[in-house]
Amino acid sequence: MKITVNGEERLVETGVSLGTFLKDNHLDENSVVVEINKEIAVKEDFHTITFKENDSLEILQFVGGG
Amino acid sequence: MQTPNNMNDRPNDMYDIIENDDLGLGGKKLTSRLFTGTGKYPSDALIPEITEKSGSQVITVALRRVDFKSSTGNVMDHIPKGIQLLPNTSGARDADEAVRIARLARAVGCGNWIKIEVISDNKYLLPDGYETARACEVLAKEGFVVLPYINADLMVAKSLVDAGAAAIMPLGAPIGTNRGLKAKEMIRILISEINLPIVVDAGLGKPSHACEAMEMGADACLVNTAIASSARPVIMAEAFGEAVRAGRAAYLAGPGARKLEASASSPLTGFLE
Repeated sequence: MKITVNGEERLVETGVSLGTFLKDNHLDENSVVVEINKEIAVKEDFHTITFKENDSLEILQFVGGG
Repeated sequence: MQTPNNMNDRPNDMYDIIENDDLGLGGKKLTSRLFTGTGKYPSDALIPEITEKSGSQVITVALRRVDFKSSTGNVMDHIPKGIQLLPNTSGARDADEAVRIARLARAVGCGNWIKIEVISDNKYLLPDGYETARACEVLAKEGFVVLPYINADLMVAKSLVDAGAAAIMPLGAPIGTNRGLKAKEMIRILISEINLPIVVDAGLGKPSHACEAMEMGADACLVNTAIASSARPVIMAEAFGEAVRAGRAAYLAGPGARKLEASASSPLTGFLE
C-alpha cells in the first residue's frame, strides 16, 4: 500500500507494523518520535500499529541545534 | 587563612564562592551556569569533550526529519548520559508549530524541558514574543519546563512569567552573529525586574561577553556558535566555562563603585614634598 513518510511516497506491505518498519529502515525506536496523520504514536504501541492506505507519517529525531 | 575582612566563614576563594551557588531550574540544581548548543559543530564527535571541558549540564538540540538516505549517526549517540537535554522548537513560525514541536520532542522520551524558539524573520532570526508567550502558556499547563527565547523586552518577559515560564532567555545579539551583549541595557532591566532566572542566549561571541553577562547578574549563559565556529572548539568551550565562573564569582564578590573622577590607588608620597 502507499503511504507518505517525511514527505515522500513509499510502498509498504500490508500488515507491516510501525516497529518493523523502523527496524527495516535501521532506526532505533528509542531515539525517534513518530507522528501518524498528525497524531503522535505512543512508543509502547509501535509493534501493534499498522498502516492504512494514504497514511502520512513524520519520523523525527534530535539533531544538533542551538 | 583568616584575613581582616573575613566575617564568620565567608568564602575567600573564587571556587569556594561559587561552590554553593547552584542554579535551581525545572526542579534541578545546576552547578554549571553555562549551557551549550550542539549546532554547527565540525563534528558531533566533539560533543563529549566540549561538554566535559565547558562543564555544561544543559545541552540544546533541534528536532528534524530522519534522513533515510544518510548513514550518519544520531546526535544523541554523542551526548553524555545524565546531561539535561533542552530541545528547541526551531523551525516554528508561530505558537501552534512551537507547541507541536514541543510535544513531539517530549515524546522522544528524553525529558520535558523545552526551549521555545518562534521565528518568522529569516534575516535576523529575531523571535516573535507574542507567539512565544502563547506557546508558553499552553506548554506550561502541559507540564513542560519552558525556557522561552526572546528579545530583551520587559513586557514580553512579564507575560512569560504569567504564562508559567521557568526562566527567561533574552538574546545578547542575533543568533550566530558572535556580536556580544548588544542588548546589554535591556538585559540589565530584565535582571533587575524579573523574578525568574535570566539566561542570556544567542550572540555571545567571546568568553568576555559571557563573563560580562554574569558580572551584571545574569543567572546563566547559553553559547553555541561561538564554540562551534572557533578554530579550537574544545578550548573555546573551556574558556567559556572559566569566563562564566569568573563572572559569577565577580558578581557575588561585589564589584567596586564606578566613578567619574580618578581616585589614586597608591597612598600620598610624603617624602617628595
